[in-house]
Amino acid sequence: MINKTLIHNAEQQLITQCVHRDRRAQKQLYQLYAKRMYNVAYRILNDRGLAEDAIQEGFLAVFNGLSKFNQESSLETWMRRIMVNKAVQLLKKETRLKFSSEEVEVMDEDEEIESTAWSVEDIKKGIRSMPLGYQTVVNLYLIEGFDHQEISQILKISVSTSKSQYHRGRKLLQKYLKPLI
Amino acid sequence: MNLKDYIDNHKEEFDDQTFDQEMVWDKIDMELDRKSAFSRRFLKIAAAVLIIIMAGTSLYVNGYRNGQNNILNASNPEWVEIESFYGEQYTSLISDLVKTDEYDDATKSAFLRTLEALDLEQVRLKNRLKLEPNNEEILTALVNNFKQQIAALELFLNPSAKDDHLKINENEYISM
Repeated sequence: MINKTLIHNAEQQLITQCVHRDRRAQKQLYQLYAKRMYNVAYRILNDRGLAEDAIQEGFLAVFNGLSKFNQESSLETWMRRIMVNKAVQLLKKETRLKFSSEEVEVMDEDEEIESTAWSVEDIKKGIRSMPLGYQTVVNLYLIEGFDHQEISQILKISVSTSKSQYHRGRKLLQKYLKPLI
Repeated sequence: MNLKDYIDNHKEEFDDQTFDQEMVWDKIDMELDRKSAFSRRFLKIAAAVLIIIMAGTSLYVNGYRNGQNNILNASNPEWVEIESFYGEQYTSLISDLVKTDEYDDATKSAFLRTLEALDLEQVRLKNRLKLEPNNEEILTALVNNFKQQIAALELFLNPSAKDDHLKINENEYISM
């Protein structure tokens, strides 16, 4: 409890310093979150150079917008959303990614596979093997933890398209993982 | 364990990609420098525009430009001479203030704001003079108001000349 309060206070101080354009504080904030944010961007873009560009733009947006950060979510969640938006913008620019509107396909929950035999690497490979649209939605939902409402806003698609893309993607992922069980 | 639970329990293991953090920071650092230089330039221009507006407003309130805005001219020739005499000095000093590099724009704006009370007092006195065109007391107050504004401007533009202001100015137009 004390540790949590201390961390919160330290983060608050860091935010205040960053709002006042203290370059050392900005670097400190960058160092704290750079790796996590790079991975967020890399999962969406699958390209090291583009992921670096995305976090460069993302951190500039963070420093510019930090005075408007209203603390409704954690700082990390807020930053993650900014990085995802930057990465998706780049992805759309680079790949002309388009999502087709599809009806929701109700998936039988019994189809869900249960195992501990797979590894993180298997899941990452499975996601990378999917078509780009499914890959993006599955990443945002399963790994980044956004709900379909948020994904629809990020990708500018309908909630039902997000759901259908996710269900199809998950089906493909399960198909990929099944032989590993 | 289902897929979602497995991923939630191994979240950190998904963040295994590394990159050259210093190189990316250097780019961010450079961009922040470029943006703050741009902001400074923008603020400087905005402050300069503000000074010109404030100086212009001040001149308008004092009303010397070719006798425009001077509705007292017809009824009070003495006032016309007072305004012309001090007005020229005031206009020239405001023009020097806009041009000088001695102060930054923020300081110039702050200084002009300190003259606002005297500007307002001058408007009030002029309004009174409209009602009582030959009131010597009001004319004296207007002359003093001009003198204070001119003295403040001269002092601001040339602080070393402070002692000169303490001497009686032999070239004054009027002595009541």
